[in-house]
Amino acid sequence: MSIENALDELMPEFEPRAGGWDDVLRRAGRTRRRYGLAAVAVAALLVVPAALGLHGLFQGTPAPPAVKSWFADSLTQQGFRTKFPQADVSQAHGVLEVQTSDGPEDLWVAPNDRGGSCWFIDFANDPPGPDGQYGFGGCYPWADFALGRSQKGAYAMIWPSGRPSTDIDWGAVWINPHPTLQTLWGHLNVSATRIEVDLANGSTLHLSVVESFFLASLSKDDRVTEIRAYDDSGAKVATVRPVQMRR
Amino acid sequence: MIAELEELYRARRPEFCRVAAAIAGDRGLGEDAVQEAFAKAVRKRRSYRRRGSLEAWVWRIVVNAARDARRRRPVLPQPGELRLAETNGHGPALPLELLTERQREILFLHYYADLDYATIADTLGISPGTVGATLSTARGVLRRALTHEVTQ
Repeated sequence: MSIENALDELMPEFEPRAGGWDDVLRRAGRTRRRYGLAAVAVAALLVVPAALGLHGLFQGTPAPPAVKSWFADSLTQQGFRTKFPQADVSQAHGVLEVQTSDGPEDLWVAPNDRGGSCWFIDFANDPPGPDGQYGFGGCYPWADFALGRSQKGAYAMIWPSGRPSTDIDWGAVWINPHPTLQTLWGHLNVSATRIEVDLANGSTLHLSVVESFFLASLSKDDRVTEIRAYDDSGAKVATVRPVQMRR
Repeated sequence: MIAELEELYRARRPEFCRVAAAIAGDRGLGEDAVQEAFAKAVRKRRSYRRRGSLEAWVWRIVVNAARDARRRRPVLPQPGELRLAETNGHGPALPLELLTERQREILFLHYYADLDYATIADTLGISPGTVGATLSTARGVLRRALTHEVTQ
């Protein structure tokens, strides 16, 4: 008996199976839902009931090449080479992921040569364009300015909060490819583990702080009225209100 | 990316299952390992760095899932028991117990999935030269054992 025949006898071939891919997708989603349910249960105990990011699965994910390329090139190719710090691309990684109606939205971070962090936000289901990944980002320190890239080319934006807080830098913008959504993101310069975000419609979001960042997906029409940061003892450590929201 | 994974799954699922089942030592465990591996690939798709081929990246996840499945088996049969059960008493069995884990995995990837040396090397994190040498050694061991068994 040949080795080939003996191997065939040892493990006969498998037949194609209908519905196998659907099962894969169910399993892929099941872990997220399980994690989400567990997170919500814990959050309920902590009185942090809403808008949780699934950072447990995503945090530490090495940045894909398209995101690394953004950190390496985009921040320095728009005429701001002297303004933006240099990101350490080799350490670019995922920090926060939130689920939106347009799929996962991710916040990536890379440390920079000025002791701060460069950040980048994109939608996981948006394919990279010819110039790289679509999305937007910036760097700390230098918090009141961000750059983006879309199908229509590169663009720049001022932080919508009007001016940066010393304790909480944040922004809330919508971008063309996702017209019904608004991205709320921010960075804390104080030690905090969670934040509360008051919206003009009277609701309050409770968000986790991961690696000093937070991220949430809002409706395009939502308007932030106040953000409060809390440390792990529950003490309020910072508050910021927008000076004037441009709509 | 998800579309590429689905295409790979639909095109190669029988081979993935066969290799995973051989590594896990059980057809059901192998099938389950493949499902879990592809689910993981979907979840972690953004960590794929495109340095190597997508197929090799998925094979790596499948092989790891199959190894985990084998370790989780409640009772591992002894190699001799495995041979008797799986050959059903007809003809000489393949004495896989004479091979190392790496030799077995390379053998399965090569024969069951028809992978070339480069893809196997990428999957297992070794050089193509090591794949060739290991495969040659494994064949030699099995050939000698089978010949000995037949002539006894």
